[in-house]
Amino acid sequence: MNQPQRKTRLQLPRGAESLLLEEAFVHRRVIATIADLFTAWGYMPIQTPVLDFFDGYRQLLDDDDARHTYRLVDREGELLMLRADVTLFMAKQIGLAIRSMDLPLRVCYFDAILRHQEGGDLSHSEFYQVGAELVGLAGVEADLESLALLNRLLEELRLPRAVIHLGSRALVDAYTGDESVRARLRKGILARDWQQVENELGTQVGARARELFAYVASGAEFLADAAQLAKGQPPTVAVDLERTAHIVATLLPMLPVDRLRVDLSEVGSRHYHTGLAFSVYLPGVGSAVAAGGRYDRLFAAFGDGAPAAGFSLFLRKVEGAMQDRERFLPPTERVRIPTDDFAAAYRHAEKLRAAGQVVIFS
Amino acid sequence: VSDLLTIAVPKGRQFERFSAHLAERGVDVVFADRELVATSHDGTLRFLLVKNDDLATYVGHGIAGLGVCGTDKLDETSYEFYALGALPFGGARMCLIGRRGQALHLGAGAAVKVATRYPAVAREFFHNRGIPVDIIKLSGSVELAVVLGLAPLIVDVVETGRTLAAHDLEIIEEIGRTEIQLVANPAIYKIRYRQVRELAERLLAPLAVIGDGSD
Repeated sequence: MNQPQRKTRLQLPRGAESLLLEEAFVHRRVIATIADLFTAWGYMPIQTPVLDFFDGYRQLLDDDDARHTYRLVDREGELLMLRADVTLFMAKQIGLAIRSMDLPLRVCYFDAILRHQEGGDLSHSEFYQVGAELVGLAGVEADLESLALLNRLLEELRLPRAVIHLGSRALVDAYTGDESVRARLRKGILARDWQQVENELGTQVGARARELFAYVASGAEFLADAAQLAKGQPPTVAVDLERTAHIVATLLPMLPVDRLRVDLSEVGSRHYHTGLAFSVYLPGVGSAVAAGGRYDRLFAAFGDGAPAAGFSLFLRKVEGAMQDRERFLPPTERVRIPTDDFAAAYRHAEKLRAAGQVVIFS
Repeated sequence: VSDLLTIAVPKGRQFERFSAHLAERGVDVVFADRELVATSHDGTLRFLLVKNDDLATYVGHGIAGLGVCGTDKLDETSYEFYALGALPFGGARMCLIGRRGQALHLGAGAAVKVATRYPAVAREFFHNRGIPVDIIKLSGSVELAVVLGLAPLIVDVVETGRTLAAHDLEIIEEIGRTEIQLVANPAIYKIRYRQVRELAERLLAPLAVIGDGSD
């Protein structure tokens, strides 16, 4: 066997992942549990295509997003992209049909995505995203619903140490109207690179921005600090912080202690975010396990506009951290029935299966 | 998941400097013979002793929440970090180096051949100048590349310049400064922001400031 044959027969493409047996069973059980939760909240599933025309999404991707997208050319020469972000593909599917839909619309999804990862983390180009989106509601009630549902999801998966860090893209917009400066500023803030922030805004304004965007505190601390934080900031900052304070004050009594923090460096990792932005972190996992927020201008790129808010969770990142993971394991007890008389064995097995037992023929 | 905040520290000379820096701030860390994991004497911090080249990987994957790492290594990785500040030791120069007195005509047609441990830094330097470059990645003793004729130029870190002089090499151009940074895994920074901030302030503040605070 020559080297190329050995490689293609024995290895998966770099970044791809397969699940076998018990791991696949757990994965499917977890998805079923999440689906039940979403159904109980009135969210209906949507299945997005695995590939679509790249050009339709280009304006919604920043250069980094575009660079991490797998692209291919079809037989007619059209440039296609593999699904790299379910929210984007979903926005097109819904945006094209939104005129005929009753809003608000609650949708959920369970899909794999593929993004090229550079450098060290080559084992994860393929991710499994589950998410819920509330389309057609602009008010703070949609933000509250998204966060409350996300918290229920974290409870359902028994991730008690998960923390939600809450911020807002609108704070970046308050500092500049220039799109290209906004993009660089957002990246600097997300990286907590205050030198880059100063480079974009100048020393004096940059220092003021740092005071705002470096802020991280518990929800209760933020409620005490919000008015002071707004002092000396651009005028719309106070309005946005008030909105955030309303969300925090409403949710705090409902959530576990230390579930919700305000972290103003959370300004949304995607180009299309508008207001509320948040990420979820989990001890033992080296990157955010979920992210979401508001994206009020996304649907307009594909037809009639509609405000929207939602989140997505990287399921494979949390499956190893779930408490009581055994509740998702396959049953270990199996009844073995000999098949000397196959018809009789079949009838007996069906009775036992109907009673909930696992029966295999031996 | 350990509740101790974990810091990846580089083996060798940088560790000696960092442990002296820690001791000045009241943190003692001692690795037992052949041990690569140690806990500070007050039981609040865990240290991982790793190769400098692997340090970013341990922090990038969240095995360590913090790391003490040169910007020369950080610039070569695609992991994302929060840079919390520079430590006051271990700074050096990243330089383009060639044989002493050798006439060079960079950008004159064919790609220039450069051997280096820092391909990303070297590539960016030449691409910013619009000069085609052929990078040869090495993992150590880079000066030999010029001596033995593998490449006429190298890009490497220079601290004292003594190694260059010993091989009849000279700095053609300083590409930039490198420093030892205290970096954090972004997710761990978020989860343990209070602890990380307190530690960063303790490690990055000048001794005089720490003294003022405790009086």
